[in-house]
Amino acid sequence: MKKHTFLSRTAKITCLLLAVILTLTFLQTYVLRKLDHNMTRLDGYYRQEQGELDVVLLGASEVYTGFSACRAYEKYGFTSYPVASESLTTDGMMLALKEIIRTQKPKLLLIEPNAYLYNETKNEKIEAHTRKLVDNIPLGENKIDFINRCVDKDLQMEYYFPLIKYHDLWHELPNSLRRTASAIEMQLTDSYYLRGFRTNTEVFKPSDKVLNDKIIIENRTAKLNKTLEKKMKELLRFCKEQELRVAFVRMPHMVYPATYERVKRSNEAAEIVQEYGYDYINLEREWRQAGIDYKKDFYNYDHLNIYGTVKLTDYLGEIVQNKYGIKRHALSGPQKESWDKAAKTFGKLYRYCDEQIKKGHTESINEDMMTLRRIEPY
Amino acid sequence: MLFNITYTSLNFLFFVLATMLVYFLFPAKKYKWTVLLAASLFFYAVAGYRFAYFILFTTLSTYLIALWIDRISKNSKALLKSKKSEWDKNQKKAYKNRIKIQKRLVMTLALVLNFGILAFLKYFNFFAGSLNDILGSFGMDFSAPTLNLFLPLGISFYTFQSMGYIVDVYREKTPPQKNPAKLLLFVSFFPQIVQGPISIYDQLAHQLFEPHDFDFTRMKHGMELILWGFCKKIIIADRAAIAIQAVTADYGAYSGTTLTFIVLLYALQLYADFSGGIDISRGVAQIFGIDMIDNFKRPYFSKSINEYWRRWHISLGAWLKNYLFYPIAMSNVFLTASKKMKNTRFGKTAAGTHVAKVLPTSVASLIVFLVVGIWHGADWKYVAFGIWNGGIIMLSILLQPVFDSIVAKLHIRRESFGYGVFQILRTFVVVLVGYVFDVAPSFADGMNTITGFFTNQNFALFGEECDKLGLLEKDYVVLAIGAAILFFIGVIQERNPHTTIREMLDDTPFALRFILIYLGLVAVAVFGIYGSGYNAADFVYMQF
Repeated sequence: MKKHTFLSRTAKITCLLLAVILTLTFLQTYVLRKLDHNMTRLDGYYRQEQGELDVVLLGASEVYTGFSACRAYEKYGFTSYPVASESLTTDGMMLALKEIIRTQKPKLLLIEPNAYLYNETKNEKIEAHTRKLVDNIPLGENKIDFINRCVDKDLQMEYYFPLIKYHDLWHELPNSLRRTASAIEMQLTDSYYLRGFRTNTEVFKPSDKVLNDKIIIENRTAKLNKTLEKKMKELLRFCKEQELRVAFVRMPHMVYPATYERVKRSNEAAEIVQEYGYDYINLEREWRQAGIDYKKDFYNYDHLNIYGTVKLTDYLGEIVQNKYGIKRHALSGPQKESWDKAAKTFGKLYRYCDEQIKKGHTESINEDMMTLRRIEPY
Repeated sequence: MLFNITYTSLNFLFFVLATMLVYFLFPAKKYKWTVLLAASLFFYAVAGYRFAYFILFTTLSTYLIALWIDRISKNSKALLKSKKSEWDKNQKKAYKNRIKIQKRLVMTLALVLNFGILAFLKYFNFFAGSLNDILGSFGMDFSAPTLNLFLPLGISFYTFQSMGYIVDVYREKTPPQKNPAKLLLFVSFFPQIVQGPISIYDQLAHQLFEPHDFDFTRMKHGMELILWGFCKKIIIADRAAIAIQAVTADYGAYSGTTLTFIVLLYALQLYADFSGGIDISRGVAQIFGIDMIDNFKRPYFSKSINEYWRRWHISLGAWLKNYLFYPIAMSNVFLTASKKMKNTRFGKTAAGTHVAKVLPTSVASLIVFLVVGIWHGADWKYVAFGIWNGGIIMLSILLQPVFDSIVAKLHIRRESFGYGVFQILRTFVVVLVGYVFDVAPSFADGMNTITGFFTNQNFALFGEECDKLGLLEKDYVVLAIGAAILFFIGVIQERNPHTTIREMLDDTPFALRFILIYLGLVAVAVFGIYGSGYNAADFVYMQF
């Protein structure tokens, strides 16, 4: 074969393969993907510069709905971020923790223990709950280790190449292109001003009998699920090994008969955590001290609304500042600018949500460009 | 299966790539075929390891019996030569007849052994069940046992292929293969083991054993064919399969309109699935320098059912023609019956002359299609499928003069475009009726469907029922576009029957080829039915 023929063919094949790979990578990253708040939150987290965050919160949805990093910054000056995803599993907690250590080394790590408080392991086996975290973590040693340890051999390829799993999302086109555009714009403009926060504009009216008054004096314990207890102790040992400064924070819930046992399991978890020498701040029981009014401050049984968020953030922020001595630290010019804008954005969001709640308009508020534009006038 | 190595899996692509590298870099040219053998054995070991001894038995028995037949031939010829002057004509004739019977007996041994295994594994439970039903209907308390039997991967295909070889050796069309490893490669060649095509020894074997150097154009054409096969299989066929499986799971719940639609969808699925799979097989073989028989020639453009069967699953048709149709049609029984008919009073009439002339052909066709039906599966519905196709062919042969006179009386110009379209549509409808028995879970369901075409049409329910078939509106759009592309390409191929689309593409600007291949690859990745959200559909013909 003549040399130039060989070169020309090689170039053509390379171009073709490159074009296909680039197209599929683009589709996998921005189009055929679950473009939801879990993705934005983690994208935003990885945008934080190393050492920028004073506090990182780890856990499930209670964390990013109950605590606002923007509000905490505005009021107490420390920087924080929720590394959290919907119904995060125990293996996901460990992976997220390793990622936090790899990327930030915060002065304080607040861990919400919800993943360990289920009475069985059903949550662990729901693939979506795993993927909501793992899909949004960049490929690296921790992720590869997680996939090898926790994912069925048959499914591992889908974790490395999510397109295999999600290519079917083309059905949502062209409607999903709005989310694609938003994700790209957020990345280009670094507009993660809500710092992973999510809420609903609603005041929840429970249909079940609420037992929040009763749990204040509930001191009984109930055994944790064996598997989950084992996982919790693994996490605690890991925190010890890494010499992390950790506190566990149980976020407030609206407790009703079906979830009452979970309160007792939370008490049991507190004992285990304390055995390892860590604090267990039980805001589920201290809701009164935090000023939470369960008739006004939840949007469903498990999540605080914007009013609850502000109260809880203020209360927890005070603990973080006073008990753990986390104070404002010097930020670089762009960092400060970004955090100041985040604080302002949360203020706008609060006013927007307040108006919607008063009007009775129920709406999901996710961190995306559509939300940022909607709240801009407020 | 040790791990997933189906033709549409990533593992298979990696396996082909690895085999390619070893094959083209193999230093000993003369023994390159051993790479293909090792790859084929590896593929079979992975895909059907539990039943590998069946294919080994077929190869060994075929190998030994072919040598046996050849030895009888050679010995007899040597003896005849040595007795040339001693024996008179009658003695020679008697000896030749004795040898012929001897050879036929040995060949029969191979056929009985190998078709016996196939028949036992595939049909034992069917016959036991049918026997129980029949005896039960007479009130007899007898129960033939049914067994937990599994079909080894590709057993129909490799049995037909190896038995074709035995018959060819018997007919002295081909010399026997002296090297059992080479015969094993012919029987087990991995691109064809799952669903054919059923190759003829003379056409395939020498290609397998010859060393082939890397050829860029062949590789390019092979890859393009594989890509086209992937498009057909995982974008069209597997998508249509979702709706078809939903209907067959609850067959009685759908109106005749939906069932009509499903039969149409089945025509699309079956063609895309089978021809897509064959394209992948042929594409892989082509990369290694091996041209396998094309199994399809736009069958839905056929103008008669006879033509359809010459364009659909061509290798099976050719096998049946060579090894079943001709032996039956040319058998003494039929030729004698034909002659006798000619001498009757009816045989002296114009109609009688025609019937006597075509009797062997038409009856042989019916028998062949009965075999085709049974080959497809052990169920009465497949028997009905065979009888329907064979019956139509038999009638079309027998009634040809009647049709000719109608056409003449109506002054229809056979060459006209309109008449051609009519013939294509007529044939397609006949094919669809046959497919009803393929789709329906049972013969009775098939009959009910045909009745439902006329009595249970309900257009009002159609949309609602389509929503329950597991496909979204956009999936139907993809299927419609897929069908349109298949049709469009079919038209191009019909107009240029001697040139492949790939050869045509070679003459187009690079940019166009680039865009088409790029779109094909992206389309497979995006619109393909794969991943853990779906149960990957097996190739339909894999089960046969």
